[in-house]
Order: sequence, then C-alpha cells, then structure tokens
Amino acid sequence: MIETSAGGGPAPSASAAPAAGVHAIRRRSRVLDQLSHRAVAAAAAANVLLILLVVVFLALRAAPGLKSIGLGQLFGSADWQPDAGIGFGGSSAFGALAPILGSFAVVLVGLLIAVPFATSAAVVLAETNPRVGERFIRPAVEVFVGIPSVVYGYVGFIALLPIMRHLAPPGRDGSGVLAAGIVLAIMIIPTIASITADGLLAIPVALREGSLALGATRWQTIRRVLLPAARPALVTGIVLGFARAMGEALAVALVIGDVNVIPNVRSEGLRALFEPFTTMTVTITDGVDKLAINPDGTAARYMLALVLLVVTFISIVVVRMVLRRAESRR
Amino acid sequence: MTRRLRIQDRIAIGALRGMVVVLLALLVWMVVFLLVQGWSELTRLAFYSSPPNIAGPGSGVGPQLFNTVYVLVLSMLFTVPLGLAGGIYFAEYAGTGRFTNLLRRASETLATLPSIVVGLFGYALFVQATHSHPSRLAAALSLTVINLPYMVRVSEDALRALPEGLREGSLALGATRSQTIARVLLPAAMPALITGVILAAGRVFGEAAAILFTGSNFALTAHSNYSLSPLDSGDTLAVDLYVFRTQAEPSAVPDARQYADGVAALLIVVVLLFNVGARALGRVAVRRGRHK
Repeated sequence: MIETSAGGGPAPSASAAPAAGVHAIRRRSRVLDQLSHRAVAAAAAANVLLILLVVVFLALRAAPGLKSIGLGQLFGSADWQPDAGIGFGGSSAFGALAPILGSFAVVLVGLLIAVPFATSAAVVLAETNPRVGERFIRPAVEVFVGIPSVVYGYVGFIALLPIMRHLAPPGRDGSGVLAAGIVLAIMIIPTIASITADGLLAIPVALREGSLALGATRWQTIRRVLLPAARPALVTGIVLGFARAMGEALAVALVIGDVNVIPNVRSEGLRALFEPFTTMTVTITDGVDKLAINPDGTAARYMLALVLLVVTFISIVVVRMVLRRAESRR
Repeated sequence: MTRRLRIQDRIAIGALRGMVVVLLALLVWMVVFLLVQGWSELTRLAFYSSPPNIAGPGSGVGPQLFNTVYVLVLSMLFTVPLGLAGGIYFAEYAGTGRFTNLLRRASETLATLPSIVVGLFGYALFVQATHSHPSRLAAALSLTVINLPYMVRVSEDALRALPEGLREGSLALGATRSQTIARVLLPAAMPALITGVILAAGRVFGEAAAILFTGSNFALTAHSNYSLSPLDSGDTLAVDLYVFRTQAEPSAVPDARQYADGVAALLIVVVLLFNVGARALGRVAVRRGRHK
C-alpha cells in the first residue's frame, strides 16, 4: 500500500490488474472444471455406447442368417454341416440344437461340482478358520481367478483327459461333457467362493452369537442361520459363475471333443457324460478360420453369439433382482 | 442327543475343511505340475528368442512374446485413460439417479460379456467394417472392451477408499473439483491405481478367445515378425496354447507338446509375478499410509 502510493501514477491500474488476473484464473479453472466433468462423464457413458455397438454389430452380422437359415432351423434341428455348401456343391445345414444343449449340459455339470466346493471354501474362510482363510484361501482364490482360462483347458487336455480315458467306456478318448464340466468347475469355484465369503462376512455378528447362545452347534448355525442369511450372495456367485462358464470358449474346446452330435442319454445313461460333444462357444470358435469365406456359417455363429448375449443380459437382471430383494428385506 | 449333535458337528465341519484341503491341494498341484512340465523350456535361453518351429526341435516363443507385450501395451494405452476417467466419474461425480444406474448396469454387463462374443464383435467392427484384416490394433481394441469395466471398477474403488477429509480439505482451501482430483486425490490413490493397472495387464496377458478372432494369423511358423506396425497380425502366447491343440497334430510335430508345456509354464510364471507384484505394491502403500 505504502509502496504504491510512493510510486505515484500507476497505482490504481496496478491494483486492478491482479484482481482481473485472479478473475481470469477463476474463470479458467471453472471452465476447466466443467470440461473435465463432461470428459469423465463421457468416458463413463462409453460403457453404454459399447453395449449398444455390441448389440448392433452382432445383430447386423446375424441378420442375413434370419433369411438364409431361419430361426426354425437354428433352434429346431441338430443337423449341423456349416461347410458342406462351400465349394463342393453340397448343401449346408445349420441346426444348432446340439451346441445349445451342450452349453447347458457342461455348465450344469460344472455348477454341480463347483457349488459344494465353493460353499465349503467360503464357510471355512469366513467362519471356521478365518485366519487360515485370510492367509491361504483368499490369496489362492485371487491367484486362481487370474490364471488364464486357456491354461485351465490345457491342464485339462494333458492331465485330466488321460484320467478320464481310464474311466470312460472302451473306445472313448476321455473328452466330453464330464471333462468340460470339471475344467469349468475349477475355473468358477474362485468366483463363487469369494462372493459367498463376502456375503458371509457381512452377516451381523449378533445373528451368529444368538444362534450359538441358543445352544445350536457350529454346524447347525452354519446350515440353518448363516447360509440362509448369505443366500443372496451365494445366488449372485452362482449366477455369475454360470455366466462365466457359459461364455468360456477355449478351455472347453480343448477338452470336450467337439463333435456335433447329441449323445443318446436314453440308451447310454450316465455314460453319455463321456461322449464327445460341443457347445455354442466351441461351435463359434470352430468357424474362426472361415469367417470370411463362409457367409452363412458366419451368420449362424453370430446368431449363437446373440444367444450368448441374451444369456448374459438375463444373468445380470437375475443378479439385480436377487440383490434388490435382499436389500428390501433388510 | 447332544452327543449326537456334537459328533454331527465334528463330521460336518471336518468334511468342509477336507473339501477345502482337496481344493487347495489341487490348485497347488496344478501350478507345480505346469512348472515341472515346462521347466526345461523355461530354463532354455533360446526358448525366449527363437521363433516357433514346426519342422524340427528348438522351438521358441520369441515373436509371440514380443507380440503379446506389444498388444498388452497398446491395449493398456486405451484402457487406462478411459477406465480411469470412468472411475473418476463414478467415484466423484455420479449421483444416484437413473442415468448413473444405467451407466453402472452397462458397465456390469460389459464385464460379464463372454470374451468370444467380444471377439466376434471386434471382428465385425474393427476388422470387417474397416475393410482390414486381423491386426494388433484390432486385438488391442477388443481387449480394451473386455478390460474397460475392470479398470473403471478398480479406479472407482481406489478413489472411494481415500479418507473424506482429503477431499474436503482441498475444497475448503478453494481448489475446484477437477483440481482436487488431479492434484490431491489421484496422487493419493496412485499405489492402488498402479496395483489395479498391473492386475488388468495380467488379464490381458492370458486372454485368448478375443485375440483369436481379431489379431491372430493362425500360423505357428512364418511370423518371426518383430515389426512395430500396429496393423500387422500375430499370435499371442495364450492363443498359441489353443492353436497347439487344433492345428499342430502331435504326431506331425515332434516337439509341439514340449513347446506348449513351455508356453503354459511361462503364462503361469507371468501371472504369478503380476499377482505378487501387485500385492507387494499394495502392502507398501498400506505401510506408507500408516506412517502418515
């Protein structure tokens, strides 16, 4: 203040200039603030854009199949000869009943094996041995979520198939629904286990203590109180495991044998589990080297991809419903 | 009655523990088995430098390794900024309205999409619609589709884990929201973010189905290609493990099995390294946080 008055003349303008500068800086940072808000919102909106793009492009590529193949053939026939029509004057057939049934068969077998193991792991981690659980089970679970699925398939191919060959009826090489189910089970156990364990850990302590105080044993508490209370988490884990197993391609391709014939369950019974079979993902993978030269076959595969997309959507909706119902009950 | 219950309790809990022991043993066996199988390749220096060779012995993963790292880096260049921005939005700006809900559902759906569906999508958009051929760029973009929701979630969690006082202190000092994020929150969340990036990179390393459709050239030989062009195609390690089964008849290729064993062991080693690295970083961050 004193200095400016001593300097005389330029004092008023000198005191005005910094004020204007501050305003400019404020304005600029406000503009920057709004710009960055819009930018990150746009990045988040990219998720929606991507989903739309996926739906549009899959539909676009599947559309020619609606006319040349038809939904009736795709979902109503098990006659699958995608390449017979190219070059040899034969006629192709695109009945996808076998891969569709196959997908559900391997996932069902996988879940039947995975759920008991995953639930046990969750209970041991969250309830009976929490210290061992946090030290060994959780890190192990995290590592095994990270192992590439194709590696699981490879282990299945070189280690599991020889074992299955011994168990299978003579003449079978061991590949089939059971082998694929086992590989899928090992892949999805970590997913189901970690979600269920989190659900168990979120249960209020009072619930457990109340049950024990009433004289229930630990096992009774686990079975009658804790597992029912954690059911939303268990169901969420199972649905996400289902979605993951349904969409797995290469690991299954390595161990299922890839034969597009529905095993005759009526005459074979449980031995059908050792029959080589196929799934939607394996059938899609099969066509990868003919994408450009077999337009009908490619369209049929895009139709199967749409089926997988619908399965994914349904899984997400089911998870949402389960979680919302659990929330409203609280 | 009580005695029966006590015995039942023992048996049931023993059975639970037994199943977990079996499970852990199986997982440990799997890692050890793969490392033992691939040990001779892992310890052979030429394995990392020479190209795959169908005609005779002495195969290596040189080009595949190069290509894998190339695609990984390229895809992370897209994934990290986009995922970080999305995470910032969800953690710092998003309300609880329908718009935010829609974005969250979209992100969840994207995270659940089978990678083979993303592969077909990537082929349709990045290869066919652009009238090009499978390439590293198309593979990297497809991998971004797969990894984006993961990166978004990791970034959001990292920012949400920060103490609220950090945010309020910065705003109270007159900083704008974007200044607070850029100068205060992101530096504070850096260790968690780096951990997330490492884990995301690990996922890219093992992804195969999407690359099979968008970046592969389906040949175990013929591409000792170390070119830097993003428009070249090439197999990655994980793709090779699948191609081994379908394209190389074990009888015709004497050391195909040995080669695949080496690839599988290498994938396991890298995944373990990524995991241990990310964990170690997380621990360092926690320790530093306690110091303050």
